[in-house]
Amino acid sequence: MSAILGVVAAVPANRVPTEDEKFALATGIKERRIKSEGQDTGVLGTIAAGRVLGAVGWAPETVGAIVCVTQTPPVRMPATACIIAGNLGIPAPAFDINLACSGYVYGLWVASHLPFQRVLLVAGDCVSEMVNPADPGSANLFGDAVTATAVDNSGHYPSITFALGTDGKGWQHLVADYLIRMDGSEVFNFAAKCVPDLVHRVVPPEGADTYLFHQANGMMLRHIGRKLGLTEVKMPMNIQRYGNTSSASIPLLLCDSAITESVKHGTLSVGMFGFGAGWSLAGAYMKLGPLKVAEVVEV
Amino acid sequence: MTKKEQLMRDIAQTIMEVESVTPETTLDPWDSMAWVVAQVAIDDAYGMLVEPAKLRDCVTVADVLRLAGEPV
Repeated sequence: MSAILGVVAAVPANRVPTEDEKFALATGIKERRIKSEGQDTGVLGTIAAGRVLGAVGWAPETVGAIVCVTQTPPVRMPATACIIAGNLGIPAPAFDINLACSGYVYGLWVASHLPFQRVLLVAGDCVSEMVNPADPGSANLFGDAVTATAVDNSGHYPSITFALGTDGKGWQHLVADYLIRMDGSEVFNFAAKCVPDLVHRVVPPEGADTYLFHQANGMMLRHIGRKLGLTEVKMPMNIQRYGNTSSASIPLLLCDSAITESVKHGTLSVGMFGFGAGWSLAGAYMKLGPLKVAEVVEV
Repeated sequence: MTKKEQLMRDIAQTIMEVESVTPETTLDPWDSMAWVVAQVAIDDAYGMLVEPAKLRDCVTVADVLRLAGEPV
């Protein structure tokens, strides 16, 4: 069995406020972090990974594998995981997973099923590279962040329940070839239809202490919360400070939200729910904490 | 408040930022965020997800009400 030992999020220090007040009110996004010159997914991922390794006390040579979930690799070849392995001196298998907003949970599933005791899961994107400035619906929505999670597969932990799925029929509504093209109405329908069902598939009848949703859009999340009968206390949000950070958003909640202190010092039953591009979705339910580290590093 | 009144209130106050609307009120111009707000309002009031393409074909408030299944 597996457990998360610690999480670190690396975010650019550059804060960009949302100037469109109506957009900010609807989405809940007040500001985002946007990368500066010289920053990319590999740079932020290396910083986050190095920090989490130190915090959980793993020497680089003891890491069994690195899995990196990203859709904004700094180069097309090699995999970003290989770059991070090289930067940190980790002589281990390293590979990428090409998923967006559902990616953290997929990465957790992969990491927890690898035949290594210590797995480093890096998840995040510099989505600002792909937004179209002429499309305020996406340009004001996405922020940059990359996270690193230490996953221990030593077998001394309660099992994690996973549910993974894809309804690829809607993939064309959220696409990035060079720039992102997104039909927000279609994304909303996909999420409103599929996410409540995902929650019911993963979380046991007695419920969870906290529900961590991919921070897609504040209005969408509040609506899903109403459908599920969840109070805002049960579903922490930080989209107001970071925007939609793709696969980084769930671990970023662990590092900077109303539950951060609770998971650092105690144990919570936690549901995690990712959904998005490709009409991909993934949920997990686990006992989480106390974490050795859950922090944000400004870069 | 009826479902119809709730939806018309949301269209007026949340999307169009006016005191009230009538079925004859035209929707133009709505941006992409406004359409999503309308989807949320319809699902909140009627518990249904409308097809985005059909919603974007609506010209008046009455069209939106009909799409939600409300006789106008």
